[in-house]
Amino acid sequence: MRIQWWPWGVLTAISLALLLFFVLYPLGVLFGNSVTGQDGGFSLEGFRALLADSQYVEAFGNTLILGLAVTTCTVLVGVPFAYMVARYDFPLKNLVAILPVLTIVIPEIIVGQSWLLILGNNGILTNLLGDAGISLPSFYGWTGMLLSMTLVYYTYIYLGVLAALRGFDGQLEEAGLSLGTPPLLTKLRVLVPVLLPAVLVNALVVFTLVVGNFALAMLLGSRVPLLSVMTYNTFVSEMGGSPTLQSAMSVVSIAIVAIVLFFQKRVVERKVYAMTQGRAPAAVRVRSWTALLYTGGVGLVIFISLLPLIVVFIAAFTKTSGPVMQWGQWSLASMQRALHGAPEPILNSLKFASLATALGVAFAVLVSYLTIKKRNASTQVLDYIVVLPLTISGTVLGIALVQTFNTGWLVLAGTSGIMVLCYTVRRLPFAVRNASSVLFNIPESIEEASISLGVSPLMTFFKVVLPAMKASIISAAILMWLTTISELSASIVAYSGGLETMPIAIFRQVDGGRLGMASAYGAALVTVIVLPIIVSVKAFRIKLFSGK
Amino acid sequence: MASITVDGIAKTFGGQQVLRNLSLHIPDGAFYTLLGPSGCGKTTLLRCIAGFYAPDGGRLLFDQDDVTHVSAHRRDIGMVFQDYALFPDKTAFDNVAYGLRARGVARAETARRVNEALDKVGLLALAERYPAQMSGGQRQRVALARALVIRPRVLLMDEPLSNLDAKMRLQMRDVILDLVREAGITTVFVTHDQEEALAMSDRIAIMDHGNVAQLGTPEELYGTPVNAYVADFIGSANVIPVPARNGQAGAPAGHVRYELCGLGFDGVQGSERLEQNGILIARPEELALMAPTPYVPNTLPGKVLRRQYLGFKTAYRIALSNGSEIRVELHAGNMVAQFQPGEAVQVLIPADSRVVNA
Amino acid sequence: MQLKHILQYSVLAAALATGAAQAQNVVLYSSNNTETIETALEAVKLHAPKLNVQPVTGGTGTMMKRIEAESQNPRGDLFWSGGFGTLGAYRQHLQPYRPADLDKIPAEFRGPDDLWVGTNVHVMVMMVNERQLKGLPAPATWSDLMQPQWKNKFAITDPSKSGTAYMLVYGLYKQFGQEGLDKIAANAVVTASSGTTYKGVAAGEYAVGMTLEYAAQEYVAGGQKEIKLVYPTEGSYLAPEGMFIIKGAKNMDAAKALYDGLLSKESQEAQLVKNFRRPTRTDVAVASLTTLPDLKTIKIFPVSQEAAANEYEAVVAAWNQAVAKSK
Repeated sequence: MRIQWWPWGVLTAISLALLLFFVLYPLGVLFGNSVTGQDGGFSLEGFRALLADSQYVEAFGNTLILGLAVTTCTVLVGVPFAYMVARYDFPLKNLVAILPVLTIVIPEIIVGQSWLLILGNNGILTNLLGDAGISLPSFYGWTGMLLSMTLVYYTYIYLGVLAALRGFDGQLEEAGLSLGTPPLLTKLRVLVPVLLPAVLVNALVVFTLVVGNFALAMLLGSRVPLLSVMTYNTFVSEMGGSPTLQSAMSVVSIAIVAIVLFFQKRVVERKVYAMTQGRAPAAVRVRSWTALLYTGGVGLVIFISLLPLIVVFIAAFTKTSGPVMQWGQWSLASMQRALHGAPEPILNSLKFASLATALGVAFAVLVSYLTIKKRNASTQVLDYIVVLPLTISGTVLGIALVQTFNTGWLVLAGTSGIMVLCYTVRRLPFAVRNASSVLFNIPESIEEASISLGVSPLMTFFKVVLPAMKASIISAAILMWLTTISELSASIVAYSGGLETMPIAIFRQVDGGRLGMASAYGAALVTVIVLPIIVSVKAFRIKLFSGK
Repeated sequence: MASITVDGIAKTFGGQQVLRNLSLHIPDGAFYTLLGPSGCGKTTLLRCIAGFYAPDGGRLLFDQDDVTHVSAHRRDIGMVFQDYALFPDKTAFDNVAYGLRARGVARAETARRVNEALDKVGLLALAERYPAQMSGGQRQRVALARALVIRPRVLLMDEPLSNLDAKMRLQMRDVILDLVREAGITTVFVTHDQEEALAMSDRIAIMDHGNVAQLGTPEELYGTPVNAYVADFIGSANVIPVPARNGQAGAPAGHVRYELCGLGFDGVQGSERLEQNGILIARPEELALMAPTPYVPNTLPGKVLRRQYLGFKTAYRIALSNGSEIRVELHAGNMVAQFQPGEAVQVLIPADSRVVNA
Repeated sequence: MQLKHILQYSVLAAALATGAAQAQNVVLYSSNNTETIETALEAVKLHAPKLNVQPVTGGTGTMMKRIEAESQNPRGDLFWSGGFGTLGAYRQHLQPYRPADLDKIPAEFRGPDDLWVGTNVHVMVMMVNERQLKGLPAPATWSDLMQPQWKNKFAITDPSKSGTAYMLVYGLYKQFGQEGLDKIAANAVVTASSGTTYKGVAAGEYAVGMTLEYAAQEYVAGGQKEIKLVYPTEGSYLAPEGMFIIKGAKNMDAAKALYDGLLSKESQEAQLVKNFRRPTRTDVAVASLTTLPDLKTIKIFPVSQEAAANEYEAVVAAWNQAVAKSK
């Protein structure tokens, strides 16, 4: 059809080309390298070496066990919490709304570092208890990882179950009761099959996130061999050498996540029962000591989630002697060093995050428009490729990008380009999802109305569709900004001298034992993160999580 | 203002042919309605005229201009949609001004025309309101103003009243007609509501599976439907298959004899070249009932199955001897008597009842 | 978002402007931590106030590879600091330079052909966390750690991952042979970086760590009471680190000024006092400035830096063998 090729056909082609080049191609290079032997030919020696390495096998097992353990804990925390919030009314309940915001706003590395400051060997709490004669077990290893990862990931379960409970038709329970089953049994029989898919879907997401987790694993993992840490260490030591091992490890990581997500799509999502018309039962007002219990529970969870923030700011202004924190004594030295002596990471973070956000949101808006409003075979392909980065952990993505763009005709390694690329590719699926959520509600007729009034399809996109998407675009931009500025696992692989970002600076300070400096950077990071949220919520009145 | 000529338009979607070689001419300034059930192709045809679909064959002309391959935004049309399609982030004023601004009309002139248009639909006071703050009827009026203010060549309306409640629908009929008449603009109106079509149109094109079943004035469509489909779509009709043959010598032209329940009847030929097996179209309000009386021509015996008293009319369900059921309506004014269920009656079929092809 | 962009660009512009206003830029590639660099540069300022040093940090291995990759178009001017063996391996990228104060540096800490000069000499010691000893007596010798009761209780860094760790293993190899390595490997927890080792001891994960004197001293001086420094009576090993000017450096004069500044008495004294890094200069009196003992008073098991560099492959292989045996 003569009318169709321009402009959307051309734009689809360009988008496909970009995605193929920046997403599929690096993955291809990675896979290729994993099966390339020392001599350059096809060989499985990389994988064989992994199997033969007992430490790798141990890491593999540990990672799976950690995934299962953390997932279980998040479910144990998230489900009752969601039930409590959905079904009961008690003082302070409204504060609960900020929890998802906190989880996104506080970068993982700060969470890890804060818990070290509290419960590490020289931590505040450890010292306090130590003076009182109680000696705590070491926070490093399984304990620390379980605790911190559960705290970071339970929100996924909580939000998913909350949504399911809110969409749940209370009449189902009433029907069950009227048929004669006792209340508890009714609840179990009726609620559980419906909530189960919501729990499972999110639990699988949590599992894949734990498997790919870098920051907390590196910081707290210590003697426990883990896949993500091993992959990173292999990359660092293989620099300049043959990339076979790191590629093989990356491929294994991708395989794990892909299998889990495949399972989720085929088995779990099939069983998601959509409520046709649900009216959730009204929240029951709780009284006296039950109310106290619930309020206390919520307060506790919120406090624990806020703790990293508080601790980081305290530590940023605490006096340090080399690696030792002098709790109780205050000093501006760390902050001065961070802001004046080495502002580079701060500037880099701002620069890269802004560029990535601008590029990413623009591209996401385009792609979501193409896939939702201009559906055809090519845009379907676009849809699938855009989702791919979800299966790849940050470390693996960083490795793939570095391997691909280290040489050849487009050398991005060592430039800002590769950092921006890491961020953009990593967060693209989320930006697309955010932009898409509102497009469903923009009827085609307003575009046609604009066209009928004499405005070309391309100009219609800018004059009608974009303004109608404004709120969604802003919230996508903010979420993308928030998540890119605190990204660590991909950027730490891809960066080189001069390209440090704040999370990388924090990581390196923690690595060097300088928790004071790390906290100074951490405080700067959190400030940079929080400001746009405050501005957007007050000035633009944006609801950040309407699309979730 | 332009006339619209649809010349042999065909359109296929996913293997299914939605428009078959359709031709239609809409004179300049006329109000034509495309009427039919969902799936008949009326919206497809409208969107072909608008330019949102490119036809697979045929031509489309505005006056003498071949616009078949002209992009929609260059056709100089005005369009009103079922869901109003107002731009949610713009005020009523800005919505109406949109087309003018796109055409580069000067600011002062734009303001003047927009205010004039809003005034014509009675919404000048709501100029600064957003669509979310308006009722359905108000929104549709803004949409109308927006489409008309640019003085397009043709006005296309895609079921604009279907989303409104009954009372608002009636009001809006008048609003639309007034505006359209005043502007003298060629209008193509799509609806599935036959009463709307009858009330508003100069001519109605009843569509059936991608073809125009009949094009005519409301009176023509109601009074002389060419086939059972049209007859049953406009108003209601009893549709009875009857074997027919042309009338005897000496009878007036167009006269037919048909057989029903073993009796012979006089009727009128409704289709050109009537086939052996035709369809009798008898509107319920044209039939009459009487107590069984012998030797009255054009009557046949039946039994009352059901009676519904509706105030200004009474509707009867009558079983015929051949097993079929027909509906008869007697209006309060010319009702002779009331018949009860189970009673035997005689049904009088007027001699000018039409027999058409199936 | 507009406002944010404006703010960022203003900040960037301001930063660039201030940078451009000063003369004598020089790019310093360094593997040392922020505080160390800061201390050193403060002292350098006394020598060369017009010098505008732009530090770029990264691990030694990373920085060396980067220098190699940039050899056609070097973006760095000076590198500080790396172990002599590492420096030797990249000699083709080093620019010879004879600093003014070379006479203050003992011969063993100078590089061949003026390719590099040692700025700090690190001593490999045992860092002990008394709280984690749990009944075991603190070790006094390397051989103590070879006893069975020390299994899994102390940490050592993988010599292939760290220059200083390599010097430690080289010393152990020379002193105790393959058998010694086997016994150590059997008992030790091998970490992937020097940082992991000493942080691990400070954090209480290991009772003992074979690590750098200055790292351990930081915790002691910082007031972490349970940390103790032990100089093994059998002898410690020295791991000097040096700096060099990158061949083809764009700011050659500035680099030379920085080189002299880093080697100055003020700089070495400051690093000793604030960062506990031993100087190479003979005119710095260690014991009178800190609680650390003078080098003369510590028992050192002597090794040749040159030989250590030459035997790198063999010794790392011997270590890997020892580790494999212990599994």
